[in-house]
Amino acid sequence: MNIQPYIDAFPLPANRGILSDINKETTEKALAEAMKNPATVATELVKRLLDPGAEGNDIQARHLLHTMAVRIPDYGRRMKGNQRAEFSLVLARSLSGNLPDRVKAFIIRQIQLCGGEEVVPAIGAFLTVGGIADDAAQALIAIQKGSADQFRKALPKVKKDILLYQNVLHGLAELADKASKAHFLEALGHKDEEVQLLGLWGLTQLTDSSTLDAFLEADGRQKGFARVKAGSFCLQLAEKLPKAQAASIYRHLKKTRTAPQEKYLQEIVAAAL
Amino acid sequence: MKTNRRKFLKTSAATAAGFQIVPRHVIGGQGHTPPSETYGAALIGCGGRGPGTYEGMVRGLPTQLVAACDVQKTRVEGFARRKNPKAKTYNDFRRLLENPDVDLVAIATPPHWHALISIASAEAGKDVLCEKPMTRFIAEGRAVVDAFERYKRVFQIGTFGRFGASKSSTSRTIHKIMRSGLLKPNPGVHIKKGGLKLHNWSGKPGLDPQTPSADLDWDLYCGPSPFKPFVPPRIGGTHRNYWDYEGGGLCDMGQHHFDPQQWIYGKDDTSPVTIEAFAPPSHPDVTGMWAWVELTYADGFTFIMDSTEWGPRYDRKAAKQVSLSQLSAEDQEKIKAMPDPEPLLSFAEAVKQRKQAGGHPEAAHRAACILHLANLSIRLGRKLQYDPVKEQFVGDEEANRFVNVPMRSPWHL
Repeated sequence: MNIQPYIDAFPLPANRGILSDINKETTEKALAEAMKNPATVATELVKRLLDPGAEGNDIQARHLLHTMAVRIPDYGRRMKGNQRAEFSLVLARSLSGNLPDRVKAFIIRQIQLCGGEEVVPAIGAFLTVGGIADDAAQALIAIQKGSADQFRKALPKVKKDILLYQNVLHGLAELADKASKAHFLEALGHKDEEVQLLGLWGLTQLTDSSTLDAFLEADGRQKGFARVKAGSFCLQLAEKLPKAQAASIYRHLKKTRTAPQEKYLQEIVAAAL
Repeated sequence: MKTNRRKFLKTSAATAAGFQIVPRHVIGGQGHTPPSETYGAALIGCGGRGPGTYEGMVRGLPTQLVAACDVQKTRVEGFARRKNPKAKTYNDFRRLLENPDVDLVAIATPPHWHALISIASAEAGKDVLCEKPMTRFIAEGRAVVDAFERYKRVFQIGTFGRFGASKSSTSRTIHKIMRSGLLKPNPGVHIKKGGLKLHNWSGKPGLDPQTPSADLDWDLYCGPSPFKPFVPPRIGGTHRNYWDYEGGGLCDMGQHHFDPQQWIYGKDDTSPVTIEAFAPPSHPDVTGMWAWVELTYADGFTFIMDSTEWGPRYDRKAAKQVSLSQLSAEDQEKIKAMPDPEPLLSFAEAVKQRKQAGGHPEAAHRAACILHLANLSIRLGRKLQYDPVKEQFVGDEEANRFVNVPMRSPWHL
């Protein structure tokens, strides 16, 4: 399929290097044509994507692919077809090819806009790949359906890499994954402060009072800014729990936040109690 | 002179919005010598607008710069050297917020950091003056509102047009008409023509990556936003041109214009329900061209943005002022009998009185939402329906992926 006319309808940088010469009618006509075969066009567009800094120019190809990604969900709703899923799957399958990491990251970002449950396994595979793992995580968090499974599968594989481990815990916390309660509890005992905080955040998201003792114990160990964040998680958790359990959090804060610069917390706790 | 935190015993009255700031305590308590009355002030984000934002924060308050922070070492050191060489300098805002001498924080980073640093500052017990636009995406604004309510800290957005607007009798009358709900349907149409720096803050796509300078912590600069290869325009004023950090001239200048209009038209606690734009497809990385955006509230009132810099001019509705003459004689009397809105407190007054500032989080969040909704209609290329109570798009799950944009680990709201 010759997609060059669709690509050529999108602008190159004009004066000042900005896309000021864009023509709405021309681009929309090209888009309408491309949307007659979105999956096929996507396959061809991926071949045109370049690593940033490589010779050549893929400004127009990126522009067209992105426009298709943002428009296809609405297009699919109006056409009452499965174009969105087919398009997303084409992009997801391209990730297994020999593309540069930054190109894969760009493709994942487009899937983030239009992908559904059908693509999460393909994206989940990148949770263990440094340099693309955070793009993958953000896409999975946005898609939500089926994503927690991917994070949980990746967890044992990433524990030895602190950044990848934080990334996976972060995803599970953001998804408020109830099946990860044990992982969040385990994180509380990690030597890395950020991991501990992600454990506390995850437990805050779960709002599970059975974890309260471990939660408060971990809070009590925090120092500096981590202590500030942990205090915030305490207050947020208290807001979501029944009165009696909330009161135990406030009493814990009353007991522990006694430094002169923490007087503002004492006042909040006093008002709550 | 050693700077101490200013703490005082005072019970503050609730504001019209029901917001109460928890009083702070005098160090030493009753019978002891009162502490120094100087506030410890800090600046996070020392480039570009930074020094001006700092001066705006400290106006009317006895302060001393005690700390400054920037991810670029030369910037923070330059600012501290000029302002107070004894101030502590940091590259990571978390370390600055650990400093117990800091009472007030001015935030002048690019917008992708505004919400997180505002929230963290409140959590650390500090009052905040934060540059506009308040946020990069809608959910951030709600998180800032919640944090400042939880911690009873003062927040003021870095745009001040509403203070002058609130002193005009015409504006106050319009405000009362709008808040009364008597004008049904609301025929008001406010059109902003030009002044949104469309070309100025449009981005250059496809630049070759470069190595950032050794004094720049590029990873921390990117922070919650996607980590992308460094190109020089991603930092400095041209950060405005990248969706990763802001939303072009519409966002950058939009809050200046629409914040006072939002006050005048009594919309500080709600958002438009229908948003439609005339624009070509947007580039994934950089901001670009658009012609106009129409944003309509549930009562029929409409804001229009006409860029005047690209495409056709907006011609669907004519500007229409809201006035008493649109009401019955009986309703006009009701409006005249309504008390004037409460005077808006400056940041300094709010800090001293422990009350809500005029540019408080809910108002600033709603004004930023006008800009985000406009940009989303442009970027998504479709008319959008929005629920201003749930703060979600109606029937558009993919648009909702732009409401709460996942952040890079370990950052989160």
